[in-house]
Order: sequence, then structure tokens, then C-alpha cells
Amino acid sequence: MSDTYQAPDSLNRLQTAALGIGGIGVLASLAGMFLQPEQALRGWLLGFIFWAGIGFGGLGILLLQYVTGGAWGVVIRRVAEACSRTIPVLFVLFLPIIFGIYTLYDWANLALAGTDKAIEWRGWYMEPTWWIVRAILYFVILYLMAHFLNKWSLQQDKADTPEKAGELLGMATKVSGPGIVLYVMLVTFLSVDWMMTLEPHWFSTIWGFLFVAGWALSCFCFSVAVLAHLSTRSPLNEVIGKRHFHDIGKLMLALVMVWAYFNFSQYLIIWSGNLTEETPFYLVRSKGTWGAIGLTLIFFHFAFPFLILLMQDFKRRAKWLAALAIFILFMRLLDMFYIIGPSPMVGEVSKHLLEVPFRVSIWDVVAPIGIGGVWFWWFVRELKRRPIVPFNDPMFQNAIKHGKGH
Amino acid sequence: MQDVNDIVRKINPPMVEGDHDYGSVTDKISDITLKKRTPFGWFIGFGISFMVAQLLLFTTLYLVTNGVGIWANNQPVGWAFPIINFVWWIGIGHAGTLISAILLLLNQKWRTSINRFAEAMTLFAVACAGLFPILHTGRPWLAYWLLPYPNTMGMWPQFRSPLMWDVFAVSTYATVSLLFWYVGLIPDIATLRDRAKNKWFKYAYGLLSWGWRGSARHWHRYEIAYLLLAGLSTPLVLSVHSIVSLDFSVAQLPGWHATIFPPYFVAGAIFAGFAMVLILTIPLRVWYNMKDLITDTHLIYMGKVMLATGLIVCYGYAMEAFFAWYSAAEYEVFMMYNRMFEGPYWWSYWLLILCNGISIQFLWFKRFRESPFWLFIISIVVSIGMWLERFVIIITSLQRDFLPSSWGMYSPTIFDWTMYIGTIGFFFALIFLFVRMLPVISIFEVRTLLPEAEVKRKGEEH
Repeated sequence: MSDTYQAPDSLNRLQTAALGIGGIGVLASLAGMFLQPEQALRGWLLGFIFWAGIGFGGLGILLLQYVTGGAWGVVIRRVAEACSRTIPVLFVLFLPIIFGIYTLYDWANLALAGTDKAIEWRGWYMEPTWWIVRAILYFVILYLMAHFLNKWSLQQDKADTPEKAGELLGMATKVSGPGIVLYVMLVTFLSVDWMMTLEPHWFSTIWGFLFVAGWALSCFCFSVAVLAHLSTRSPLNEVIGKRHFHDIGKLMLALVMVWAYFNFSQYLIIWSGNLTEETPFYLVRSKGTWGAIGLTLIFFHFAFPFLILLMQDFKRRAKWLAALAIFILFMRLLDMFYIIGPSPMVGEVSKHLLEVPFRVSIWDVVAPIGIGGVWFWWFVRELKRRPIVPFNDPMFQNAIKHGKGH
Repeated sequence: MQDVNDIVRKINPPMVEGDHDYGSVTDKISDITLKKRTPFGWFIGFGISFMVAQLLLFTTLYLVTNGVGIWANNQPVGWAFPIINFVWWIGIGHAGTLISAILLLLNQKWRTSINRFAEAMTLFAVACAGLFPILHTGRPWLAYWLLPYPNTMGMWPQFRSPLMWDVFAVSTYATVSLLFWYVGLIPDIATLRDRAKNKWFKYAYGLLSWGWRGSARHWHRYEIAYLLLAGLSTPLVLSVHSIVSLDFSVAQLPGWHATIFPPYFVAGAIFAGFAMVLILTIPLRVWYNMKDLITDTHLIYMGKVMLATGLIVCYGYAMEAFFAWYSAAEYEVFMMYNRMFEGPYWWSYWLLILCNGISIQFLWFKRFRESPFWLFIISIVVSIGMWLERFVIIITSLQRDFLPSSWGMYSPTIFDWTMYIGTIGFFFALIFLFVRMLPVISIFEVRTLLPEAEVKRKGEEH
């Protein structure tokens, strides 16, 4: 058994490819912002919010696994850590959204004009300057949380006594409790700022939960794909067992259900209330192609993965689980598109549209690929910098034993 | 220097303390029902609860003879104490199902010595809860009209009403919980049957244990049945209180109509339920000297669950307040302002925040989590808080109707109180009977926690 647990070289090829594709995609998207600014920015937001979900979700999972313990947490930790270390890159990728705020968010124009009652009521909360200040604040706080958890984890690798390693684990656990509270609050408000304000008159109290759960699902799916790739190669093949995949598969199943539960709650309550300030959100999204996307999400973001994940055998096979995980990731992207696509474009908010033609642009494809490539390149870079498992963790041996059991 | 194993043991402490083996665990738990003389304290506790339960009996009689007018329900506050108490009791029941089903699926070993107890509590709480809507119909003998059955009256339930969904959700919940509890009891009842000396007890336990012999085939079927019931109960933990929350949120009433209601109510239910489990276990383990089976670790874990679910509930309060403001809808804004500052019940909101929001913050600290005394106090405060939560949601939203000419006030009558307090007596009386007659802790499941239960390869030491 190798003592260093270095990530396998097979990642290098993936990394180079990711940078190549990502670089081209990002450059094309940036060029698009001059050709078709609005469409390109909406595509950029789609790509950003999808990949940010995996990056921020990594921090969420990191906090969660420290709080709950469990063998799955030990094997997934380094992947989640690498995800959480992409926050600086995500900030750079966020810059076009800051510069494009007036092209992307119609409320920013209305706030400037001072003509919209609801936006006026919200006062400084809906001022572009404060919106940017808040965005920077979200990034800084999330970065700091990720920074300290990563730092202690690295120190744990270098700890020379089990006592010291245990202490570091204890410290991370202690911080993660309040950390989760902070994380959920931040994700709630950033999901309101970045996504809910696309429809500035609409509101839903469950919105934050939808993103917390959705992003955890995104990151679990991404991690499963990465772990499945690593599990066939040294050194992870000596560590990870079927039972680890089984456990993570169960968590995926739970989150698929939670996603559906939250969305159904939101839909049912808004539908039954039938209030003018809420219903347009779903009215627009249930007509024509948008309605078809909604149904696709019900069947393929929920029903299909749900039924498959019920099977025990399926969850225990890394490759199968990874294939499904990648499929769910596409559905996550579609889910984000379902929110962004029909939302009003510049000048449309005051029209109170109840029907929106189906609109998709090349940038809705190019930007997610480009951002994904750059993000993934950085992710692999971070993943390689550390041993692939926290081998010094006091729970490490237990976790291996758990994985080999049945 | 500490060994790695010491650290692991510190993170995952053993769930059974003391020097126990299979025999001693069985003795200890079964003796409570079979050998020990009924303790004097039991008679006092049962006596008081039973007397308090008479309030319920009396109020029900008075209610049936005089009609629901004896309560203070009025216009616009048409839903008042009956539904507050219904939701409160149903919520308390949730801890039992969570502990028995979800923690089983999650392989959480600490569920084992508290699940039996919590499940019994669930059943009794659901029984108390069910009384309120049935009695609120005013003619409880016609309660079966709620069920969709072909009849000559041409009546059919309104399936679009969440109150109708409640009928199905709660009755399913009660049925599955009862089955789950009873199936889990069968092997233990058989143990009691084998150990009972009294002829009548032998006969009664024998009847209840359905001829359980403990053969491999029995165990095989038992394991499958139990796992299936756990799978069935898991969605019920979420669905029952989600549907209860829809009673309110499908309406257009500001203060009721919020999309976060389903998860927020579910968390609140588990929160209240764990508070009640703590209220019951903390004295129980002292009176019956069972600190080695229900250890401090159990209490600490329950405290942590209470903190986590309590924080979700607080998140719900925060979101309600934030989005009421963010919505910029005048009714939403007014409702929140009325609830928090201007309305006549503003004190109930802040009392709620104190009970559910502030009190649980102490659970962040080890000192409070590790002290049964403080856990007990916080649990009582939380139980009051969760009752207040329903009071705030229901009363403050209803009493300010859309038109100021329809505004009203609500103050409960003596019968509202006697009915509510009566159910508390009824609940505790049932708990006392349960403790006396059935094994309060699952004997055979605790045995699996002992070191002897671990399967070892040849030559491996214990």
C-alpha cells in the first residue's frame, strides 16, 4: 500500500483536456457578451450557478460530514475539500455577472429609475451597489470557512501523534455545527440575490432550502463520478469499498426525494393559493416548451433516478452509480435553466408577462461547458495537491473496514 | 500517549454501559414488569395523571351535551384550541417514528434503547391528537362521514381539502405506527411469556406473542417485516406533518400561506417530539435505575437532534419574517407587523422566540447538553414553545381578518383549557400503564449492542 495516497496520473489528461475546452468556451462566451450581451450573460449565469452549486455544495458536504461523522464522510472528504477550494475561481467567474448586472437583472434598471413599487419598498436591499457588496461578502465568508477546514485537514495529515490528529478532527467538528447554520443562511440569501431577483416581484419562502438541497445533490453526484473514476486506480482502490458507494447512493436517493419534496411543496402551495403575486412564476413555466421541461424534470430529475436508486445492487456498483450521477447532473443544469430561461429579460418585468416564448441560445450551451472546463481544471489541480484520503484521521481505519463489509 | 482506539471510542462511545451480558440485560428490563413490586411512586404518578385525565372525560361529556359553543372558537377565529392541540400532539408523535424508522435505516445504534419507548409515546400522542378534530365536528358519533364510503345521503368528502388529506394521513400514520410498535414487541413479549410466573400473565403475554418461538425462520421473517415497516414509516414522518402544514398553507391567509411550511412543520414536529422523549426518559432512567442502558450519550444525542431541528424551526421564523418584508405585499407586511409588534398578541410571538429560539442556544454548549437537569428544563420550555408556535400561527393570522370590520379577538374558555390539560393527563396515564405492563426497552435489540454480539473470526479476541 502506498503511504502517500497520491492522486493517480490518469487525472492529468483530464485536466489538460478540461483546460483546453474550458478556455475556448470561456473565451467564446466572453466574446459573446459583446455580440449578444443579454443572451450570453444569461448563459453565463446558467453555467456559473450550476458549477458554483458543486463548489459551494462541496463546502456544505464538508460541514455535513464533520457534523454527522460516518465512513462515507472520510472517503468523500478530499473530493469535497477540493470542490470547496474552487471558491476563488468561482469568484473570478462571477465577475462578468457583476459587470453585467444591468443587462442580466431587470430590477437593477427599475431600481435606478425608481418606478417599481415593490423594488422601492425594499430600499437599499435592491440597490445594485449593495447587491455587489453582499455578493462579495458571501464569497469572503464562504471562502474563510473553506479555508480553515482545509487548513486543519492538511495539518491532520502532518500530525505525528493520533492525539494531535484527533484534536484537529475535534476542532473541525466543533466549528462545523455553527458553520452549517452560517452556510445555510448564506446560500439562502445568495440564492435570493442571484436567482430569485430574476423575477423581482415573485417570492417563495422555501427558495433557500431548494438551493441548499439541490447543491448538496449536485456535489454528491459530482463526487460519485470522481470517486468512481479513482476507485479503479491505485491508491483509492485499496481504500474505497462497495459499501461506501452504497452509503453515498442512499444519500443521493434521499436528496433526490428532498428536491422533489421541496419543489412539490412550493408548487402545490402556490397553485392552491392562486395569488397574483405568486402564480405567474408557474403560469409561465407550465406553458409550451417550458411546460415540457417542467414535466421532464418531474420524470427525470425525480421519478427515474428515484426508482433506479431504490435498487440496492445499483448503488453498490461504482460505475453504474456514476453514470446515473452524471445523468442527474444534466438534470440539475436543466433545473437551473428552468428557472433562468423563462425569467423576464430587460424591459420585461414591468410587462407582467403570463406567457414567454421558448428561448434558448448557443450561449446556454457554450457557457456551461466553458465555465465547467475551467472550474474542473482548477478542481483537479486542487485535488492533486493533497493525498486522496485523510489517512491520518482517527476514523480512517474504521472507515475502510466499513467499506469492505457488506 | 493515547491510542487511536481511545480516540475512536471517545467519538463513538459504547451505547450500553456497565458490565452487562445477555442475561443481565434481559433480567434488568423484564424485571420491571414481572418481578418488581409496583413502586409507590408509580401509584402516585398514575393516580395524578388519571385524575387529570378525568378533566378530559368531563369536558367531552359537557361538550357532547352542549355543543362546541362551550369553547371560545368564534368568527373570525374559527380554528383555535382544537387545532392548536391537534397539531401539537401530532407533532410530539413524530419523534417516535423518526427514531424507530429513519434512525434504523441510517444504522444509528443509539436508537435501540429509546425506540420502544418513543414509539409508545407516538401512539399515545396520536390518540390524543385524534380526539380534537373528531370532537370539533360537534357530533363525534358521525365522524365516519369523513371517510369516502358509498351512502344513500349522496355525501362524498371534499378531496381538495387538506383536512380530508389529514384524515387519511393520520389514520395511516396511526396504523403503521401501531404495527411497527407491535411487531417490534413480539420477541420481547415472548420473553416475558417465558419468564412470567403468574398464570394469567403467562396467558396474556402468550396470546400477544402469537406463538413466537425464536426460530431462525421466525427471525428471518421478523427482520424482513421490520425493515419493510421502517421503509413504510419513513415517508410518513415527512408526509403527516407536511399535510398538517398544508391545512394552513393552501389557504390564502397571510401568515398561513408560505411555501416553507411543509419542511418547517416537519422539523418542528421532530423538535417537539424529541423534547417530549427527553421529558419522559430523564426521570424514567433515574426511577428505574437504567442509566447503564439509557446512557448520558443518548441524552446528548437527543439534545443535538433537538438543537438541529430547533434551528430549522428558527430558520422558518426568519424566512417568514424576511419574505413578509421582501414580498412588499401589503397584507403580508401587515400580518407580520401585527404579529410581532402591533397586534394584541405580540407577546405570544416574543415568548415563542424566547422558548424555541433562545432556549435551545444553550444546547451549543457541552455543559448544558451533558446535564440531564438542563436538558429536562430546556425540553419543557421547548414543549411550551411549540404549543405557542401553533397559537401564534393560528390565532394571530385569523384574528385580523382582511376587512377591519371583521377583526376580532380570542380568549379561551375554561373548557378549552380543561380539554387540553385533560389530554395531557390521559397521555401520561397511558405512559404509566405502558411502563408497568410492557418492556420499556427493546430487550433483544439492546442485546445486539453488547460486545458478545459481535461476530468474531476464530482467534480474534473480544
